[in-house]
Amino acid sequence: MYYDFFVKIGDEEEVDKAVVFLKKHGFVGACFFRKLPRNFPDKFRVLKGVELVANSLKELKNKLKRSHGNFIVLKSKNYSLTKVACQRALVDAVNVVKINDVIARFASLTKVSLLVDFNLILKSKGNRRSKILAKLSKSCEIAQKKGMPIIIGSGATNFYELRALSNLLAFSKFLGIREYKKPFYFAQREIIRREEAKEKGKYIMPGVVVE
Amino acid sequence: MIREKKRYVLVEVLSFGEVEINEVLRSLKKEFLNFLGEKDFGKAKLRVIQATNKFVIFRVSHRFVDELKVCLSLMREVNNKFINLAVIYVSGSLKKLRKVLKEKGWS
Repeated sequence: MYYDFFVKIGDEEEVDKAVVFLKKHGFVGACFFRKLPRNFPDKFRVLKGVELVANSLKELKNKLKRSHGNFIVLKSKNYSLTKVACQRALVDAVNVVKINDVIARFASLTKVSLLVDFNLILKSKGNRRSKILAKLSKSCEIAQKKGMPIIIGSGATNFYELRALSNLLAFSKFLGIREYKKPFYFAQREIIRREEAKEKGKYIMPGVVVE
Repeated sequence: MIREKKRYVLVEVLSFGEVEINEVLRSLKKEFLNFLGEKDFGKAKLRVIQATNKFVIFRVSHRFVDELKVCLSLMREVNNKFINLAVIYVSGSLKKLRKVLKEKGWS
């Protein structure tokens, strides 16, 4: 039922090990951004993610044309680009630390999620870590207030950076998310449903699916 | 005085190469103190019940279980070796935890 939607492991052997670890520690699926696993159990759902780093709308649109993935994430320091991406639903999620009410409101209407990267906190130390945690807590508070979906992912770049479900659930509680289990299944389920419809050729456009 | 409730937390230790378990516990204590601050660190009453290279059993106040889990997640490396501390089970009694240990074949 729970998914880790942000795994960035680049090594092929480690990816296979990661699937075993994730399955053992409570996840039923994952989204891999660099290498896809070769062998995985039938009941374990694997998706391909794409992280786009862009600083202008033109650059983002160009990259969107070229990228093919099940789950598209935007990482940008440009506030107006993040806002436009949320407003027009250009991506599935935005990987930013700080959001405001405007972005959250647009994102709640278009169902663009706020992606919380755990690895960012893991790799930071001291003052920087506390600042990131404070900003993330504030962003999660705003997202909840406006109804923007939240996704929490481990963001692991190697096997040892993966985290068990219970650890990430505690982190979700720590961020002040009231429905602390929701970031691990809610938006993910919608994306999986959409991708299944795409595979069957039933998906026309956002909001239109042939039954 | 009301008796305080406690929780036993079973943690799996995964590391890249051999890591001294005492080193892991020392850095965890440091990290926990850093994370909670001196005031709450005392209240948490963190104790190590059993520690091997495969697993560790912690005892902690029931109010600080989530904080301990977050702190375990924030541990990345010890002595420049990658480490992953995954929470397997949380129980109110040691007896139940020992059963889980038996199921895993760790006892």
